[in-house]
Amino acid sequence: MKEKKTATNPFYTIMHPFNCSYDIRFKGKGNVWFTIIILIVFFLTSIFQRQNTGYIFNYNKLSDLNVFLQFIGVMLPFVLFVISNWVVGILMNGTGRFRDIWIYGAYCCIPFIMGNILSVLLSNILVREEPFGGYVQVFGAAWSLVVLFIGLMIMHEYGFTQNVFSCICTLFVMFILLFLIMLVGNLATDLYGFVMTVVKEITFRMS
Amino acid sequence: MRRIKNFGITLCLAAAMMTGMGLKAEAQSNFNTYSYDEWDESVAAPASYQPVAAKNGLEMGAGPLNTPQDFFMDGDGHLYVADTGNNRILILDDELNLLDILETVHMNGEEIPLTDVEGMYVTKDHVLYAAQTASGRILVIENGEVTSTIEKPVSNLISDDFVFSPTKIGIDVYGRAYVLSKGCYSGLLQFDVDGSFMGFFGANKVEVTAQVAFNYMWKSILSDEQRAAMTSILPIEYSNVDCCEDGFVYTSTVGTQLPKSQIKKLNPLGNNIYYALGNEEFNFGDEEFTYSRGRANYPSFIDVKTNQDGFIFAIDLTSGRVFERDQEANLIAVFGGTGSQLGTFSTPVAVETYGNRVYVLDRLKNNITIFEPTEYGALVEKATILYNEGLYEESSRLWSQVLARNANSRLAYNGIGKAYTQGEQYTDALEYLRYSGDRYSYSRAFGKNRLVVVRKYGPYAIALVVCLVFGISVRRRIIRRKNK
Repeated sequence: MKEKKTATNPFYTIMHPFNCSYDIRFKGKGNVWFTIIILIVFFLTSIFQRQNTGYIFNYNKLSDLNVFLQFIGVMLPFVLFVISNWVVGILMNGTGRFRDIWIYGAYCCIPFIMGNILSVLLSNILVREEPFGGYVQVFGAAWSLVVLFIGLMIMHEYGFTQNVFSCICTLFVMFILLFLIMLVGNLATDLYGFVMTVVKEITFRMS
Repeated sequence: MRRIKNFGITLCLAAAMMTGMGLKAEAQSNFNTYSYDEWDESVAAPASYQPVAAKNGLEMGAGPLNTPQDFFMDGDGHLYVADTGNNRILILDDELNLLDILETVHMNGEEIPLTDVEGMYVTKDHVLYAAQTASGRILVIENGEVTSTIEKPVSNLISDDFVFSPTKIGIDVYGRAYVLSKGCYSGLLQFDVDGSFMGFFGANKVEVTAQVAFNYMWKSILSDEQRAAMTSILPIEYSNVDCCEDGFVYTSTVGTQLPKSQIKKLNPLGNNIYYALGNEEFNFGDEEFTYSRGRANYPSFIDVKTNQDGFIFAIDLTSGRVFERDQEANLIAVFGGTGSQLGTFSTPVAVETYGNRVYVLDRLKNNITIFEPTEYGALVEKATILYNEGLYEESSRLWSQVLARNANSRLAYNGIGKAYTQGEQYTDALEYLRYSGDRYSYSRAFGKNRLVVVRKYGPYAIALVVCLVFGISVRRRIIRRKNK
């Protein structure tokens, strides 16, 4: 009667990280389109959280919403994480491919997203002395992290300590990447300024 | 915010129509008048205080002043001005007309000049305390006769190389003297009624900056000799002291790096009890700073004074502005500024109050400016007094008048919101409290409103659930019976 659930169902993933990360890596399960939907929902949730958290807990200036910054705030850490973990995986003989880390990483966001949505809803009916929304949020985040940690361990075929080390390295690489991005950004601005000055000089001379 | 603005504009228009031609046109101030919103961004506000007059020494009838350092208003409206550069003390009335000039006083049968007086205090019995900074003593003068002096105290708290150079002085309601000595970092020197030294009082704390923490780390490693060779870290000394009728000592501090706790209200134990609700440390002056060469121009308060209603006025040397806050640290008014026009200063050194008036002494311009509250300012003060007494209902009527003049007034929204909360009209209360940005009161009103909603709809919800559960179980039983 009941069909056996597989890793194609992301909601099954967050309950059974061992099975699912194995399925994604070694049986080619998982849906890339679904991850994109998850990330879009994540992005929308971040806006929802910023704008619709109950007034008592919401210290944001609602009129100052910048959608682009919200988008960066969600996408940048995710993409950075996937890239760095993949890079670290290559260096440390991990078996996970880029696709696997991407899909599994996106699936792992689900508890965090749900925790956030729940905390926003709760914050609209709770008062200052009842900070349960925050607990829900922390719970969701912790769940996400635990599931992610287990999944990466299976995916890369690491031991526990090796995986801890890999995670620390991943964080480190993320910071390096962030630094490089900022550096490139700065240099690009400088270069643009330089080229513009030269162009201006030349146009002054020509005329 | 837009809704507030529209609401405000409508109210303003309505008020203008109602008063019609009777609306008095007020002259625009020579300075910016503003208040701060929830996010510490300045928003426009009507002027709360307007300059009435500014007089220099010639206009007072005393000849030009020369770098006056301090002035003091006694309870009868007599203004004592320490004309330091001319070695004299002027006595003026509350309209700044000259009454008397003190140039010399009698001391032990000799006539001595009143040189370098930088601080003064006059008690209710007209006893004048004049701090002679360079001479290192305080003269207690009664009717031109020096009855006693306060000099460098002899105590084992005070080292021999301590230089007693009193700059400011305050006498509390019990007759104890609080003296500020130049270069003394241990706080105020407290003297008893008979002039004997009691001890130090309420020192500023060292602000922990990165350098301080670094030095602390080094000092824990170094030997005693090396430690002695290092520069010692000292707290910032006070710039002024004011003894209020309520028995507390108010102090101001200049040139702090972190603009927090510049104005202190010290209780008899010497602890600061002037805190804003919710956050212990708050900024008395501006929240937005100007920057010069990449460094923020932090406010540095040179004088502080409370008025008859307990409002605290402090003057900021950096911006030349007088900030008025109430005892709960709500910003009531900002007025003054740097400039050369009426109502602006170049180097303000002292602020005094008499009745509802505020006086500011300018050391460089050698003049005194009188400020009086405008209709709006008086309204805000009146409403604040009622509000702080807990009379929300009475104050809310005044607050709605304030709102008609200033739609940015957070205090007004808060006052009306609290009145609605008290009147158990929670939906209105929530709207107003939300505009005021007071999340604490909002949360309380919200909780009460939630209780009302639950009481109103809770029984129906429970009834619904019970019905559903009952219905489902009945349906199951029927199906089971059919299956049999």
